[in-house]
Amino acid sequence: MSVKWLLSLYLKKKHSWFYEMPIKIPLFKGKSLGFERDMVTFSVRGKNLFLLSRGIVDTGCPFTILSESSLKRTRINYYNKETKYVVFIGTIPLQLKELGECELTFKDEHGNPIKFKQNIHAGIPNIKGYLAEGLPSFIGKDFLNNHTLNIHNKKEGSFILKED
Amino acid sequence: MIVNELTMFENDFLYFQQELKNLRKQYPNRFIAVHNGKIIGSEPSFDELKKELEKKELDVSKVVIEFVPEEETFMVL
Repeated sequence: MSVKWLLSLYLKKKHSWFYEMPIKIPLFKGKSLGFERDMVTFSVRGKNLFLLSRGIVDTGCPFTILSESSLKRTRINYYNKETKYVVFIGTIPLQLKELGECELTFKDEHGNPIKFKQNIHAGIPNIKGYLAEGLPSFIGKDFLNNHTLNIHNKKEGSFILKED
Repeated sequence: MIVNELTMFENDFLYFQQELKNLRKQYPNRFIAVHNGKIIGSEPSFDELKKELEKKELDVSKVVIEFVPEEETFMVL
């Protein structure tokens, strides 16, 4: 933990009425489904669930979705969960199954852990094959809305910002 | 602790991306596992690779496992 971060925590608690430190979570450029996209690495902790994952930050996606290839790395039995929606990514039908509220941990610009609670879905493709295997996880608009987060694009790199 | 794990996971994924061109030649249509900047396993199916990693007593939830498609897929989301 950096001194700057500890100091900001102290000031935030002591003078919260006028002093709010913005939280900045850097994104990285990762290639997924053929194109470079804004991605972020995070951990997911839920009931009988823990994994590290990376996802595309997608304001066009209404849900936060963990890919089947991510979930296969855990022992959670996601397949028997009820399907809430069937959506399409490209031409691939995807069953969305509710995994419930989980704790997502990101690292901020200072390398400190930042935690959020978020309802997440499992995204299970209805087809088999290499296209389905390559589907990524998504940090969706629901996550950005719930935590009043914005995406900023700067020359030095993109980041998620929480100002309030 | 968790921050170190996140950093390592991200670096392993970036390593996978940097090496993808070579990996396509070496491991076409196979699943590969990347850990600490190294390829630590490859199998034709995810389940076989997972078993292989579990035999090595690795925590699969923290390992980057990627499919290496022979050809790239382009998709607009």
